[in-house]
Amino acid sequence: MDSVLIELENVNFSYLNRPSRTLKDINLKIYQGEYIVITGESGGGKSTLAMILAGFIPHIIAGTLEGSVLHQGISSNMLYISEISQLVGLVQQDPENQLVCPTVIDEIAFGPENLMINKTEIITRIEHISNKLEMVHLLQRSTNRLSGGEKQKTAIASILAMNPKVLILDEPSAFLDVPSIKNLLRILKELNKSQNMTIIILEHRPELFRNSLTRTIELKNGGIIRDSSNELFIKQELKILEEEITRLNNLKGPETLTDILEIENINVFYQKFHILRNISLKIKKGYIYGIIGRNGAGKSTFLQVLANLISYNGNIFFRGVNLKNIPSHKLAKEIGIVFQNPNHQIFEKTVIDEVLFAPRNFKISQAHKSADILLQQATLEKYRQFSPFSLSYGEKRRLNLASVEVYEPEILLLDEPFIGQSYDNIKYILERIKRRKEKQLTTIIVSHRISLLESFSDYLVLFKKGFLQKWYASKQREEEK
Amino acid sequence: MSLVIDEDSKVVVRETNPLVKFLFVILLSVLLFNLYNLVKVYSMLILVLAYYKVGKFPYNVAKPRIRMMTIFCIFILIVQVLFVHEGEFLFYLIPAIGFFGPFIPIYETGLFIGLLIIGRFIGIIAISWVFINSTNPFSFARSLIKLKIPYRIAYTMSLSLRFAPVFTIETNIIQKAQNARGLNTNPNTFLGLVNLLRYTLIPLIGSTLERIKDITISMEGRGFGCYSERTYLFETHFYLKDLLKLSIGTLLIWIFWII
Repeated sequence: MDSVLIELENVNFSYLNRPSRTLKDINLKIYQGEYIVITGESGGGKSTLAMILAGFIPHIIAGTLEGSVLHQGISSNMLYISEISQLVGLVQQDPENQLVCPTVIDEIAFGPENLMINKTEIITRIEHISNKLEMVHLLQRSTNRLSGGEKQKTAIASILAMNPKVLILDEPSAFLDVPSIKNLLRILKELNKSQNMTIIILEHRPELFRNSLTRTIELKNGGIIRDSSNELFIKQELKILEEEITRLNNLKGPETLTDILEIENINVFYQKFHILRNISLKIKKGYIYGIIGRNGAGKSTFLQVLANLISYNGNIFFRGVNLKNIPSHKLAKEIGIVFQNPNHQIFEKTVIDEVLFAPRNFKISQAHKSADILLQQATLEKYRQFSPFSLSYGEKRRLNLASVEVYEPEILLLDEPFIGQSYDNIKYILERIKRRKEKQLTTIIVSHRISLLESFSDYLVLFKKGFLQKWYASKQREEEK
Repeated sequence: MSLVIDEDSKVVVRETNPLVKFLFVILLSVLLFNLYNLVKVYSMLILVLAYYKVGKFPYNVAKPRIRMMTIFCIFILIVQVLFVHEGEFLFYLIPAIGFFGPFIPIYETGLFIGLLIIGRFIGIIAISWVFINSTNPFSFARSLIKLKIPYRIAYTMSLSLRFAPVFTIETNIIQKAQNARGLNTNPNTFLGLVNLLRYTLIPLIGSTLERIKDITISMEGRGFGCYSERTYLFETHFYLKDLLKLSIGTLLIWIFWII
C-alpha cells in the first residue's frame, strides 16, 4: 500500500456567518498514486473539501474547522500554506481567475520563483513541463490571449512547476470541448502513471474519468455517502436524465412551421479577427436548437448577435422586422439571454428583486405571482430576501434562468447552461425548456455537452472556425416527421 | 520583447525600463497640472495623440471610454461656463432677439477653467493609457523591486495593471447583461447613464470579490510571500539607453515648460 499523503479525521467545517455546517464528519485518507473522482450535487461540499485538502482552509478561508487534518502526518495548522502547496496543488474551476502573470512563461515560473528555487532549476522545470503538456509554442504568449483549453493547460503547468505530489482539479471539464477534454485525460493519466502523482478530480460527470480512476467519492449535504474503489455508482449522464429527456422528446413541435428568426449572411469582426463568417439560418418557432462546436468556433458570439448585443454585418429579421431597428434593451423582452458567468447578471440586492428586475424594466405589473412560482420551482423560495451573491454557483444559475423566464421571452438563448451543474440542476433546466416547448416558445442552447444536447434538441447547428458548418434535424425530430 | 538566455542561465528582457515610462507619466502629469496656458495644454495633448499614431498605439483601447469621457467633459464645461461669472464678459449664449433675452452670460474665466480642466483630464487619461497598455506588469514590479520596494507591494501594484484589460472586458459583459434584461444603458441619454452607473456597481463588485478570492488562492497556493526574497527568472535592467531616454525626455519636458 502506498503512503498516506493527506488524512482527515472527524472533520467538520462551517463558513463564517453561516449557521449550518458545509462539511460534516469527514473521514478520509488520500494515498499516493490514487486517481480519485469526488462527485455529488452542487453545494454538497466538494469545493470546500478541496480547499481543506489543499490547505486553504484554515489558512486563507475563514470559518470554523473541527477535527484533524494531516498533511504527510503533520497537522495542517502547523504548516505554512507555502509548505502545503509543495505537496498539494489546486487548479480552480475557472482558470481565467487563476492566471496572474502577463505571459505563460511567467505564470509557470511564478511558483518556483516564490520558493526561491534557482534559475537553472526553474528553466529545467519549465522545459520539462511545457514539453510534457505540449505547450512549448505557448510560452511567450500573453495569458490574456489564450483559449479556454490553453488557459487550463497553463494553470495546470503552473501548479506542476511546484512539483506537488497531489494534483486537485475543480470541474476541469467545465469550459472544455470534447477534444480538449480528451487531451486533458491523457495528460492526467500520464502524470498518474509515470510520476505516481495522486490525481483528485471534483466533477459532476465522473463517467468522463472511468478509464483512469481508482476510487470514487460521493458527497451529499456535506457528508461522504459513498467511498468506493470500484466504479459501481458511476452512471451514464443520459441514463440519469432519461426521464426528463423522454418527456421532452414526447412533445411535438407546432403543427405549422413558422420562421421566427431569419438570419442572412452575418459577419462579425473583432479588431483584426473575423469571428463569424457568412452565417445564414432560419429558426423555426417553438423548437429547441442546440448549437455545438469547438472552443472559439463563434457559438457564444452567435448568441450575442441574436440578442443584438454586438455589432455585425448582415441582417436578422425577427417576425419580419430587422433587428437593427430595435434597441437591444427593448428586444430583450422578446429575445432573452442567460450568459455563462452568473455574477455578471446579478443586479439587485435580494433574490426576489433580482427576479423582478427585468419585469420592472419592461413595466410588467403582474410579475409578482410568476416570480413566486418560479422561485418555488427553482427551490429558491427560502432565499427570497437573501443577497443573490450569497447563493451557491448552481443556485445563482437557477436564479439567472428564473430572472429571464419570469417574462417568458419568445426566444430564450442559453449560453453553456450545464456548466458546473449537478444532475438535479440539469433536470430543472430541462424542465424549464420542456415548459417553453409546451407553450411553443423557441429555445436556443449553446453547449459543449454534445450528447446531452443531441438527446433533446430538435435541430443541431454545428459551428467551425466561425462558419456554420451544417445544421440538421435531430433523430427524434426525424422520427416525428 | 525578446527573450535572451545567457550562458549562466540569466534571462533578460530587453525593453524600455518601465520605471522610465512611469517617471515620464509622473513628469507629464505634473507638467499638465502646472500649465495654465490653454495652447500649451492642448499642444501637449496633440503631441500625446501623435505619439499614439507614430508608435502605432491602438486608439481602440480607449474607444469604449471615449463616449463616457465626452459626456463628462461636456458636463464639466457646462458647469464651469454657467456658474463661474468671473473675468471679462465675453458674450451671451442666447442673444437678445427683440424683447426676448439676452440670457446666460459667458465669462472668460468660466470658459478658461472649463477648457483647462478638460485638457488636463483627457491628457492624464491619454498618458496613463500609453503606460498601462505598453508595460509588462511584472517588468514594472521587477523595476520597482530594484528600488528596494518590497516585492509584495510591487507585485500588488503590478496586478492592477495586469487586470486592467480584464476589468474593461468584464464591464462590457455586464453592460450587455443589463441590456439583455431590458435596462436602457445608452450613455447618450441621461436615464441610460444613470442606469449604467447604478446597476454596474453590484455585479462588478460581485465578480471582483470572486476574482480576488481566486487570485489570493492562486498566489498563496504557489508560495507567494512565504519568503522575504524571491528568485526572478527575468531581470529588468536599467540600461544606458534608458538613462538617455530619461534625460532627453526630461529636457524636452523642461523646454516645453519654460517656452
